[in-house]
Amino acid sequence: MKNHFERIDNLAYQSPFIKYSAMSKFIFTITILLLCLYFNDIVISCYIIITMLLINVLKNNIKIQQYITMLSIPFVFVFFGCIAIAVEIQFKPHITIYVTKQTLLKSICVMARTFGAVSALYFLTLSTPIYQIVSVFQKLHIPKILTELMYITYRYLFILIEVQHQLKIAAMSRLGYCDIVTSFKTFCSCIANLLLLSLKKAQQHYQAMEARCYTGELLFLQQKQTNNKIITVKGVLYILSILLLKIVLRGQAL
Amino acid sequence: MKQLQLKQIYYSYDGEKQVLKNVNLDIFEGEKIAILGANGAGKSTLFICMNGVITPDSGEILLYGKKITKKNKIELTKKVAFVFQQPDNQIIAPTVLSEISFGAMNLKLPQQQVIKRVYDAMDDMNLKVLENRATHTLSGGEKKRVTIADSIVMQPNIYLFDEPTTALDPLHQQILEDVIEKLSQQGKTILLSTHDVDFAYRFAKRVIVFYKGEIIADDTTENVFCNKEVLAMSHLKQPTLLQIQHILMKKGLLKQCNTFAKNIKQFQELI
Amino acid sequence: MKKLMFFIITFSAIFGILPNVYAMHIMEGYLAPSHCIAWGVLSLPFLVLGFHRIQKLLENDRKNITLLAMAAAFIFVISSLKIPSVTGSCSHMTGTALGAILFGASPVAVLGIIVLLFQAILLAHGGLTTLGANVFSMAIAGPFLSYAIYKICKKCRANTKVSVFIAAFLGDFFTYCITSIQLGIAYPSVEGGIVSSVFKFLGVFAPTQLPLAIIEGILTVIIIIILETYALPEMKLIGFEKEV
Repeated sequence: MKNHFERIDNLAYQSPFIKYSAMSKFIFTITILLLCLYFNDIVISCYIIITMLLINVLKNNIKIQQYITMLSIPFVFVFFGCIAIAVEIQFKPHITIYVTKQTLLKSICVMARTFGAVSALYFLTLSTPIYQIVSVFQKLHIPKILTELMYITYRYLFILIEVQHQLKIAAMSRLGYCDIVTSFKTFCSCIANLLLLSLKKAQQHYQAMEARCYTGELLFLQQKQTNNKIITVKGVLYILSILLLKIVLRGQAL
Repeated sequence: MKQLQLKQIYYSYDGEKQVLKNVNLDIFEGEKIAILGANGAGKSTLFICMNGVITPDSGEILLYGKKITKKNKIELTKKVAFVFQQPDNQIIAPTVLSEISFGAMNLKLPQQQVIKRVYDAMDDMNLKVLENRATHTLSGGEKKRVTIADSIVMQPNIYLFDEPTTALDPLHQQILEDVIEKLSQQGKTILLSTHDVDFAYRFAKRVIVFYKGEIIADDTTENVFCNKEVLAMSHLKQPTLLQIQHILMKKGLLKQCNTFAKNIKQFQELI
Repeated sequence: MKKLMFFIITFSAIFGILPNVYAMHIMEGYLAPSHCIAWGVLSLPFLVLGFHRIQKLLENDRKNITLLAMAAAFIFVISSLKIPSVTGSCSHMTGTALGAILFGASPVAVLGIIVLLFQAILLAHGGLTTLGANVFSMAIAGPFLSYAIYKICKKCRANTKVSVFIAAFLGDFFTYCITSIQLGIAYPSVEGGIVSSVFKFLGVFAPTQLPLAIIEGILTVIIIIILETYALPEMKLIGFEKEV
C-alpha cells in the first residue's frame, strides 16, 4: 500500500505538465468528465479512454504497463456493478435470472463510461500534485479552514504511512503475523499505536509551527505556474474534438 | 551584551513533575553554547521555553533587557529560531520552496522580501536543486538542511539546535557542523543540545549541564569537562581528545598546563 | 434462489483472489450527473453542521488544527490498510465507525470529505463527480449511525465491547446498504424498479461486505479496548471520555 501510494504521488511530481497552471488542468479534466457523463455514449467513452491513454502515456510519460495496472484498480467495482445492471431477476411465476440484450448493452455502456471518466481523472492525478489541486480550491474560495486542513493532512499522510509501515515491519520481524489470531491482535495494536503516535506528533507539529511565528494562518510560497498557450490551445482542441464527434454521431443517428 | 536572560524559570507539563527547576541563564551575543544532559533532563523543554512556544509557570525571560510576557512573546519567537531534532516533526508544507517560505510569510514581510530571503536561505543550505521537490521524498540529511533553512529565513539572532547531529550520516554531520560554525561566524548566538561530548568539546566555548531539570554546571568547556563530579553525575564521558591530553600529561609527554587543544589541529601544534 | 446463490458464490470466489477490494467506493463516472448533484445537495446540511463544529473547535483552541489533520490522515491510513485474512484475499476497513467513536460524528463528516477526495485523486477509489454520493454513504450515514448507536448503548449502560461491536458492525453494514440504495436508484431494473434493483446490488456486494462488517466490528472492539486500557489520558485529550 505504501509503495503503490507513493509511486502514484511521485508520478505527478515528475510530470512534464507540473509547471503548467493547475487551474487549467483542473478545468480541462472536469470538462471532460462532465462531457463523458452527460453524453453517456459508448463511442465517446471509448474515444476518451483511448485518447486519454495516448495522452497519459505519450505526453505525460507514464509507462504503459503502469497505466494499465492503475486502470485495473476500479475493475472489481465496475465488474460487480455491471453484473448487477445486466442481470434481471423475475420472481413470478418462478424465480428466474436472465440477461437481455438491452440490459447487457446498458451495462457495457456504463462500464465504458466509468473507464472513460476514470481515465480523465487519471490525467489530473498524474499531472497535478495534490497541493496544486488544493491551491485550485483556494482560488475557488473554498473555506480556508478546509484548504488548510487539506494541506496539512496531505503532509501527514506520508508521515503516518511511513510510521505504519515501520510498525508493520517491526511486528513482522517478531512473528506478529504468523497465524490468523496473532495477526488480528497485531493489526489492532498497530492501529492503536498509530493513533497514539499521531496524537503525539500532532502536538509536536503545532509546537514546531508556533516556533516559526504561526499565528493561525497557513501561508507559503508556491512554485510559479505558467500558462503555456500551445498546451491550452491543444486542450481546447481536444475538447472540441469530443463535441465534434458527438455531432457526427448524432448526424448518423438521424 | 546580555542578549537573553532567564531568571528562576520553573516549568511542569502536568503540574506535578517539575521539568525545569530554578533555571538561571545569561546568554551573551555570539556565544557558542553546548547543553548536555541525559534524556528527559529538560533540554528540549528549555529550548521551546526560550523560543516562546511555552510560557514558564514562574520566572522571567528578558530579551535585550526587555521582559517577555504572554502578549509580546512573538518578539521572542522572531529573534530565537528553533531547529527541532526530528525534521519530520517540523516540516509542514508540501514542497521545499513552500516549506522554507512558511516562516518568512508568517513574519508578514512584503512578497519581494520573502522571495529574496527564501532564495538566499536556499543558497546557504545548497538546496537550489531541490526547490520543487516534495518534502516527503527527501532523505534524512536533506530534510535536516531544509529545517535549518526554515530558521535562517527568519533571520533570527539566536539559533537553538536540538540534537542536530543525531541520525545523520557522516557527510551530513560534517555539513551541519560547518553550517553551525558559519552561522556563529556571522555573529549569531548558537545553543545546541547534544549527547556527543566530542562534538560539544570541539565546538562550544561554554557548556551547560542539566540534571533532572536543574543546571548543575555552567562554565567554560574545559572546566566542565575536567569536573569529574559533574561528569559522573550526568553519566558523561570525557571527550577523547581531552583524555589523551590528560594521559600524555600524566606520563610527562606533554607539558602540564591549563589550556587544552580543542581540535586535532590545535593538538598537533601543541605536540 | 439456488441459482442466484451459485452465481454469487462463483463470482465471490473469483474475486476473493483479486487483491485490493475497495468495493464500496462508487467509481468515477458510474452515476449520472443528476444523481451526483442530488447526493451532493443531500450531504450539504451535514457538512455545514460538521464545518461549524470544526470552526468552533478551532476557535476554542487553535491547536486542534494539527489534531484534526492528523485525524483525517489517520482515517485515510486505516481505511487503506489490508485486514489480515485466511484466504489470502485482501479487504479493507472503512474506519468510519472508529473515527466516529473517537472524534465524534460531525467532524468526521468533514474529515471524510477530505479523505475521500484524496482517495479519489491519489488512489482512484471513488471519484470527483461521485464525491457527493460517497460522502453521504461513507462519511455521513455510517459515522452518524455508529455514533448514535454507540451513544445510546452507553446511555443504556451496555457493555463497552457490545456497544462498540454493534456500532461498528451496523455502521459498516449501513454504509453498504446506502451504497446499494444509491446504485439501485441510479440503475432501476426494468422489472421491479428500484426496489428489486437495490436488492440486486445488495446481493452482488454481500459476499465481500458482510464478513467485512463483522471483521470490522471485532477489530474496532479490540482497538478501543487497547486504547481504553493503555491510553486513557491521551484519549481524554481528544474528547473521547467526554462523549462517552
